[in-house]
Amino acid sequence: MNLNISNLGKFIWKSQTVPGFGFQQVRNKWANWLMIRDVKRRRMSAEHFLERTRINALRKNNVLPPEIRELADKEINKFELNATPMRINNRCVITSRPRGIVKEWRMSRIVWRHLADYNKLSGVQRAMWG
Amino acid sequence: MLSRLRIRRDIKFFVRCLSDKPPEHDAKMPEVKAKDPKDEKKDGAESSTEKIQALLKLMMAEPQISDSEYRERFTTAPERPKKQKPDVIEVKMEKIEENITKAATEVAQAIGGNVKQTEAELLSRVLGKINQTTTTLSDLIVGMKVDRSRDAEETAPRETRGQQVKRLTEKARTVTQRPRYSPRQQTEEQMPKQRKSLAQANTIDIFSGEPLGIFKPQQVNYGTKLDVWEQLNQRELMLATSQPPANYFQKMIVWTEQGKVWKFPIDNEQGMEEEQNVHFSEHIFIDSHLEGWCPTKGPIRHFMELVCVGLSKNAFYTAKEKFDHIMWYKEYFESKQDVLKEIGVWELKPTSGTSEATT
Repeated sequence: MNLNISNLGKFIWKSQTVPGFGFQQVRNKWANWLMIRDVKRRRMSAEHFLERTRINALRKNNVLPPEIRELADKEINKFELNATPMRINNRCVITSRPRGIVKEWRMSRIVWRHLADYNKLSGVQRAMWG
Repeated sequence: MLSRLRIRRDIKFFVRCLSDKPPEHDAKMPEVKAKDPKDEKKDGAESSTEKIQALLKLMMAEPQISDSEYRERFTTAPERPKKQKPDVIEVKMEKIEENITKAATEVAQAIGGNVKQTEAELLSRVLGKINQTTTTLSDLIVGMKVDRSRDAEETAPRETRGQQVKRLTEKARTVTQRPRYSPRQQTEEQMPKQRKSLAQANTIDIFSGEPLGIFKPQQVNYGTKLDVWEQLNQRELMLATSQPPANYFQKMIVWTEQGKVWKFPIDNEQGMEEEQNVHFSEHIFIDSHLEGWCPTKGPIRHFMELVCVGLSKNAFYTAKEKFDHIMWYKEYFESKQDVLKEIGVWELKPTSGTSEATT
C-alpha cells in the first residue's frame, strides 16, 4: 500500500541517510492527524472493498449452508481493521471538524457559510422569505 | 588671561571632587581632542616615511620560519615548470663566469708576461663591468655564450590533451575505488610531481593520440535496467521542459488532458466511452458464465443465481467487472471444494445434486 503520509515521516525521522534525520518536520497537506487517519482508512477500504463485499455477501444470506458462512466469517476477520468502511468518518474536508458537516459539500457548516457568503457555492443563496 | 582659565579649571576640579554625582563627561576629553588633529598635521609627513622604512626593513629581514616549515604549515602553490619562450635566450651566470675566466686566461697566455696579473686585471674589469647597472645588454652579451642545454635534454614528451583527460579520469576511477579515509600523504607528495603543463596550442596532432574509448559499449551495467532511475529521469526532463501554464487557457488545456474538466454537453459517462460498444444483453444475461462449474441444483446454484440477478440490475459495473465478479466466486468455491464435498453441496456431476435442506 503506497501511503505517502506515514511512510515519509518514518523515513525522514529514522533513516540516517536523509539529511533531515531526527529534526526534519514532516509536512502534509491535511489539517489534522485525525484527518490523516481518516484518509488512511478511506484508501484501505477502497483497496479491499471488492473482496470484502464478496465475502460479506457469503455471510449475509440464508441460502448457503452455515458451514460456508462460518468460513466466510473467519475469512473476513483476516482483513485489517482499517479496511472496514464503517470506520470512515465524514469530517470536514478543510478544517477536519467531526460535527456539523454539510454532507453534499463535505464541509463543516462554518466553512460552508463562509464560502456561501463569498458566492463560491453554486446555487446557494441566502434564504429570505416572507 | 591664562591665570583666570587656570582658576576656572581648578574651581571645576574642586567642584567635581566635592560633588557626589559623577561627572557627566570627563573634563580631559576636549583637551585630548584638541591635541590630536594638531599632532597629526605636524607629524603626518614624517610618520608616513618612517612607516614605509619600517616596512621595508621588515621585508629585508630574514623570515623567522624556515622554508620547509612554511610549506608544511601553509598550503603553498605547487611549483610548476615555467614555460620558456623560445625568443629569449636564457643566460646562466655560472657559465658566463666560466667563459669569462677561460677567455681571460687565454688572453693572458696570448699576451704573455705576467699571466696571473693580466688575468686578474681582465677579470676585475670585466666582472666590474657586469656588476655595473649602466651597461647595456649588448655589452654584457658580447662575451656570453647561449645556453642551449635545455633543448638537448627534453623533458618527458609533453602529453596531449587526450592523454591528460585519460589520466584524470583514471585517477577519478581509482580514487572512488579506494577507501575514503586512506592516508592521503603519499598521494599529496605524488601529486606535484605528476602535474605537468598543458600542451601548447601551436601544433595539435588529432590523429596521433590514443582514443578515449567513451563511445564504445561498455560491459559494466550493460543490459541492466534501472527502472526507478529512468522514471525519475523522465520526470526531470518533463519538469525541465514543461513550463507552468502562463494563462487560464493553458491551465484548462492541461486539465482537459488530465480528464478533470467536464466536456460540454455534459455526459455522465465521460470516462467510459468503450462501454457503449458493449451490448446490453451482456449485462443482463449473465447466467451463461455459470455454465461449466456451478452445480445445477443446490444452495450454491441458488446463491449464484441471486448474484446474477443483482449484477444484471447493476447499472454501474462494466460487463467485464461483472464477469470478474462471477469468476471470483468460482475460484472461491473451487478452493473450498473439500468442505463443500463433505457437506455434499459440490458435486461435479450436474444430474446428481442431492443437497441438504436450505434453512
